Amino acid sequence: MICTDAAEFVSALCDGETIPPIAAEHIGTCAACQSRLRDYLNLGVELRRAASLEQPAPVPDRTWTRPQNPLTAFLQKGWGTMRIPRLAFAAMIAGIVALACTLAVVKVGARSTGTVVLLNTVGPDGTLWACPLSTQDTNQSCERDGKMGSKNLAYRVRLVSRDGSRVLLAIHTRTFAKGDDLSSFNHDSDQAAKVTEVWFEPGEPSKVDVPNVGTFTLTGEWMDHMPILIGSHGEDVSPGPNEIRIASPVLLKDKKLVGDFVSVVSGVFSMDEPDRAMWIYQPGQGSFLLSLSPMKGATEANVTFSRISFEEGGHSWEFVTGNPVCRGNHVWVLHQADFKPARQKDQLFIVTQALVQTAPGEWSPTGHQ
Amino acid sequence: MLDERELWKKITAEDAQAFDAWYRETAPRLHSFLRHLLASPQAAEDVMQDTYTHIWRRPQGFDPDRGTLRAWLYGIARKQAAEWWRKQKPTDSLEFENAAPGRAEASSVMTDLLRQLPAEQRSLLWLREVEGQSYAELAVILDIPIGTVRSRLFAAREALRAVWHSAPQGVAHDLH
Repeated sequence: MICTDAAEFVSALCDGETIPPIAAEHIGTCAACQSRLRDYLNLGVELRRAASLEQPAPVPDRTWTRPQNPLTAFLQKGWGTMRIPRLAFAAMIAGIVALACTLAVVKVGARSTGTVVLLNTVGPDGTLWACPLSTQDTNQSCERDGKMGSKNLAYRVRLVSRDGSRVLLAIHTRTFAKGDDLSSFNHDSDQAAKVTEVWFEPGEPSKVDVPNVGTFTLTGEWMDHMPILIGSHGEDVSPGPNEIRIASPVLLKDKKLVGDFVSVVSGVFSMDEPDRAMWIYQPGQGSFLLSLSPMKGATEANVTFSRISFEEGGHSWEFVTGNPVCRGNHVWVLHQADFKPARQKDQLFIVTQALVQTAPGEWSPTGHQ
Repeated sequence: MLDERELWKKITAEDAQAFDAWYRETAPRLHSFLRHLLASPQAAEDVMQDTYTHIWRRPQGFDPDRGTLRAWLYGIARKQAAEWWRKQKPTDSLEFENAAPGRAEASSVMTDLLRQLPAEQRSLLWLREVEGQSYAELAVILDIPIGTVRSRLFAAREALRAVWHSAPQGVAHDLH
């Protein structure tokens, strides 16, 4: 076992947890892990000491009364003083409720905010398949191969157009005999595919019968972003709307590895406060502030899933991390090449840094404005 | 001392006296937790009061089979704090005010270090190290699986350790 693997167990030890024997053995003989354990324990002690120094705030007096629901009070009063037959009144209320429910259903059905349809398809082969399709880029499609009885089935779903709250989907299907060579098959150049077009309204499940192929069951919902899906059931691992997420990053400068942060972040480092930036320091390369807010003097970096790429100071830089970084395609990076922390040890770190707004649409790290 | 279920039965039955006793017992520590999560003592006070008001008005949300009353209380407070942050306009000044009255100077080193961490890591460390909440309670408060609590605590401790090591000399005094 190495220190990186044992580090999480060091933390668990501080919590009174038992840990696997192999980890316990390593920690018992490794000076670095013991140093980490001492640091964790000391930081815990220091936190409790700091908390003990704080004077408890006085507890304000409160009067605890539960206000009666005004609607209940009104109905009770009205029922007691009613001048029309109660049966007629009850029928009128029932009618109003029924009408309101109908309107609510219509309203829900028409909800179409978002530009992406997350389609969940069960094909004739019975497998569930998640397929996000953008209404803004109709060149995108989802493709899948499956078995159908004694044949093989290749199918593709494409979003053709949008009409209000519904979308027109094209389902391309092509069957092959068992043993056919599919290695050169390409949906784009396939002229023999059967194409079935169907209107689909997200939120309304529907079934599509494709003759000689089978039934497709479609369900789906509108989304405001293109989700990043993993796993066979398409679990969405997209970061939150304001989130920057970094996991075990490495730093490349002109395509060469200059920093490996796995010893600092072997889990996921996440930040979603709008007034903060992620602050990464690599000895020899300086510090990097990453934010979704435009910072004064910062470079706009491109984000492609788990990569943050930018040009700065005549060099190409790239952070490669273990998960999607953010929802958008850009983050702002403020690189301070000559930054040196006033510290006991000149070692890499990832923390967060507060930002202050210095002008409309412009932010600076605290102490740098 | 009332059993938790017994206490909750009284509260759901609108026993204001029982609720007030519980409020007086738990509010100081909750306030302290919120002071480290929010930008000002006033915000902590407001969110704390909102939390108790919310619980008093909707006590049915607590399920004793799912976790402890304390975990439920802190879980609601954390959500109310997140809501408070969400409502802040980007132009508002969100600099932390000096939160701890009295012996503020003595505790400010660790408080300053803690403030450099994201809110979730601040919450986790405070709840674990100061409040002594168990993994099961933390899972309820943060609404995450128990298995995730361990890895997040580790990440939070590493972040605090990194902040401590990166602090200017003399600010992060020797903890050994």
